[in-house]
Amino acid sequence: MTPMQLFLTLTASVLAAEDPLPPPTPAPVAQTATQPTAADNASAPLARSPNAAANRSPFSGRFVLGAGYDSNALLLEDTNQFVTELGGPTLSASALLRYRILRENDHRLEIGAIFDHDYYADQESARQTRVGLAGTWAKRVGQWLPGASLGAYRYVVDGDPAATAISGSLSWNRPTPTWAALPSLDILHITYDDLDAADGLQIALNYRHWFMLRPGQPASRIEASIKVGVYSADEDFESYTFVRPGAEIRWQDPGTGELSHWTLVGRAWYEYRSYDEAVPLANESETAHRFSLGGEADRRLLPWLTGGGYAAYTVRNANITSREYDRFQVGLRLGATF
Amino acid sequence: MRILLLCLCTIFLSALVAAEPAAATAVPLAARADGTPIFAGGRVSADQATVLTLPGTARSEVILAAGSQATFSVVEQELRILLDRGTIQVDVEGLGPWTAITVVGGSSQVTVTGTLFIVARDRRDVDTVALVRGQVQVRLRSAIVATLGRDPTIDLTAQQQVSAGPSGLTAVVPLSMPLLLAPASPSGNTKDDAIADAIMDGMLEAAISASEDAGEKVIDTVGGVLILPPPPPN
Repeated sequence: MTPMQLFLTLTASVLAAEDPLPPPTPAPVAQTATQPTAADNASAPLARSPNAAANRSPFSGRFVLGAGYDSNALLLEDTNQFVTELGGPTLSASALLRYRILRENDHRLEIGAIFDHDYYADQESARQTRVGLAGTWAKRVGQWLPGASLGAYRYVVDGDPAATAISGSLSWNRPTPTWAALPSLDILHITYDDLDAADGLQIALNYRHWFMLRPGQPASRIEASIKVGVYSADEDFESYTFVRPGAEIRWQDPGTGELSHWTLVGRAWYEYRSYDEAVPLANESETAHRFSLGGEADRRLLPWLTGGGYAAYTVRNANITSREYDRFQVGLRLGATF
Repeated sequence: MRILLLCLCTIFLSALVAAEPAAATAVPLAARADGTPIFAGGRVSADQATVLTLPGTARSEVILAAGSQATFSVVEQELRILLDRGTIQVDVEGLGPWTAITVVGGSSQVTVTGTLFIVARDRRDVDTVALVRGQVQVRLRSAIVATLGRDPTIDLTAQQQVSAGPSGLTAVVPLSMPLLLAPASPSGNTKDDAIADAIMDGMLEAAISASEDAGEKVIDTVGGVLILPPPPPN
């Protein structure tokens, strides 16, 4: 077990142990024949009110403030000759505003506006602001839930406009109470303001499979995924083919839903990347392996407020040593939703 | 003759005034998921978990667990839901046309103030009141108050529960009773629709995640260039 794995394991154990609320121990008077159990609830068929969705506010939002430490925000190799102090404190702020245009049970359309800023005290070149708009659509067709998403984002690095990205996705989802299949075709086009050679289009096939840990409650699930694709840049030495398998486990207290005490997430992914051509002055094209392990724990402090922490470790190994790096991120955050 | 006419008018007006409450009772107090109205005196027996709404409220979702039964009535513009047996989950915002909405159990009565709570009534008429969010006031039914000679009242806050029986109210303990349904997601859906909601969330999160990956790629590509030393002067 690596130090990072040990840290995450211990963090999860401590957070779970710190929950001040006792495990479910119904009062004696509540233990009656008529009181439903969680299992009963999960299996009970329910007919919902047709207007239940419509009478909710179409607006929702999420704001998150974070503070932590990032060991390598610039993704540089340890022995690079330009930056000797890679790590430093970081502050982050993000906002997501969502507006649901269509809120029928079988037909959804919504748009979201995203603002995100990462501030690094010691690495000015890593300070990034991201603003964007994204829209998602889904419509139930029999047992299927096909959907699409489209997003446009603008990136500002160290105060200067740096790049624009357009993302799109077509998916044909199959939800069931115990599992869901989410295959999709994803595209991502990146245009750099001052680096035309790196401009390119990523096309990928993505498959995610959810195993619900409790029937009908996707808030607790295991996700297995694999993404295969190519990034075709203007210059071949920036183009690559990649395969990215991943896994995620997401757990929320049973039975209390949006007011659950804890939401725990653990995830890991690996990416194999093979570049088409060697960069100028290099002898061979690059082959890279990236691996990431991370975890999040958030506790709902108030109906609208969560507090928690995150940690992630990412390592990149490559046959070109100057492209290798590792990165450790850890921090605390407060999130507000409405 | 005038006196007789006056008496007739008085009787007529009295009859009209008396008829008003009867007209009010024609207003549906609740509705099933398929739109079937439930009027005053209406009784809902749930063979399976059943979702009801309360017309006129800003948002409402009343769920009767399988095997439960409730009777709806109006007392002085107060909507009363008598839990005859079983478990009921109430999620209400706004009172609508009512001055109050009250769930009456075996021993307790719980007043709704814009909240999500559950009342479970057992065979001994002991009620467990569990509050997920908002605030409710729990007090004993008037018959028990009369027997005990006292009227204890508890204001529950979120994530608490209390039990009420013929001997009074128990101490407040942290919420442990499971919900009949996970609370509605922001789009207002639960259960099967929660999966569709999650998929929508997952699609949006995937779009955001793609933009985060792109952001990392931007830093990987641009950040490294920005730190390069300026080219030497010619």
